[in-house]
Amino acid sequence: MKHFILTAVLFLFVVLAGSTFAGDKEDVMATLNSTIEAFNKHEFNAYFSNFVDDNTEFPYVVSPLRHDAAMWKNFIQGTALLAYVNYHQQDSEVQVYNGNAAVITGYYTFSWMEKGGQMNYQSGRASMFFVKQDGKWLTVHMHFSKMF
Amino acid sequence: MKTLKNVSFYFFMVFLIGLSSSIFAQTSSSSVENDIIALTYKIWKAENENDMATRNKYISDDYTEFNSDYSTRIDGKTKNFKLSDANISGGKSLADEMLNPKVQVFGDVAILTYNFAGVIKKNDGEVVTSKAKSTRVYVKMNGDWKLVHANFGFDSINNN
Repeated sequence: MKHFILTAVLFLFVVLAGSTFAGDKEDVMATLNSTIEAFNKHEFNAYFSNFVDDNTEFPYVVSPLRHDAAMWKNFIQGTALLAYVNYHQQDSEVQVYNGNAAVITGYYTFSWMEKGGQMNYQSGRASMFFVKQDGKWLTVHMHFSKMF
Repeated sequence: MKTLKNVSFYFFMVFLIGLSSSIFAQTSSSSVENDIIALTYKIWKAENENDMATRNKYISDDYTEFNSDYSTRIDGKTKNFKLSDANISGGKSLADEMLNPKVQVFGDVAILTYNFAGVIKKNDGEVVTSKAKSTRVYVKMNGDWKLVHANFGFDSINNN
């Protein structure tokens, strides 16, 4: 009986510890995944809650210009006019530095349908940069580039 | 009256400390921005002069890169250098400039974004221009800024 209790306590400890100390890599990936989910569902408040105030972006081929936070907000909110959007990212790699900064790189597909039914498709490479502020990972910069 | 003097002095000191720390923070951030831009020009200069020891000093071992020559990410400093060093023998850079640079600083991390403009002289003598949308991520390690990731992306306008 004693052994059983000891084993149960140890098992519980291992499970709890694993959950408590989920790594930075897992945490920052969770932030990215929730950002993608919010974008695909047009949940803009949830989407922007994962960003710092002065975020910047290099968008895909639409412009050689870097977007500031206001430009990016207009662009993202403009997707509300689309009938459907789907961003998917795969083969993501995470680099974490000093426990409070992370780079995620990967490959993405982005498809969207206009109200008239026209489907569009884009694919490319994504570099994303995050910082941890007050215990929360936030997006600072995103760079989407063409697959050459 | 003496108490009022003391209170005034106290408020003056608090104001002075607040003002100086604000000025210091701005100067400090601006200084990092200048350091990061200067470091990038230093890396370009080292590459153009084949001073690989200087360049290598500022690149992290786990450096990753997206560039315009290969579709997928190149992982690690060694693999990146093997490819970029071979590429240098294809011509000589006549000019490298960053247009519209912006540095975002978060403690020991800095992100530099800019539009790259360059001029290259090929081995056959032809002079061509080069451009890109570039992001560089630097992290301070043991007192030195090191490049940990770069995305040298496609600039759509007039590119063929």
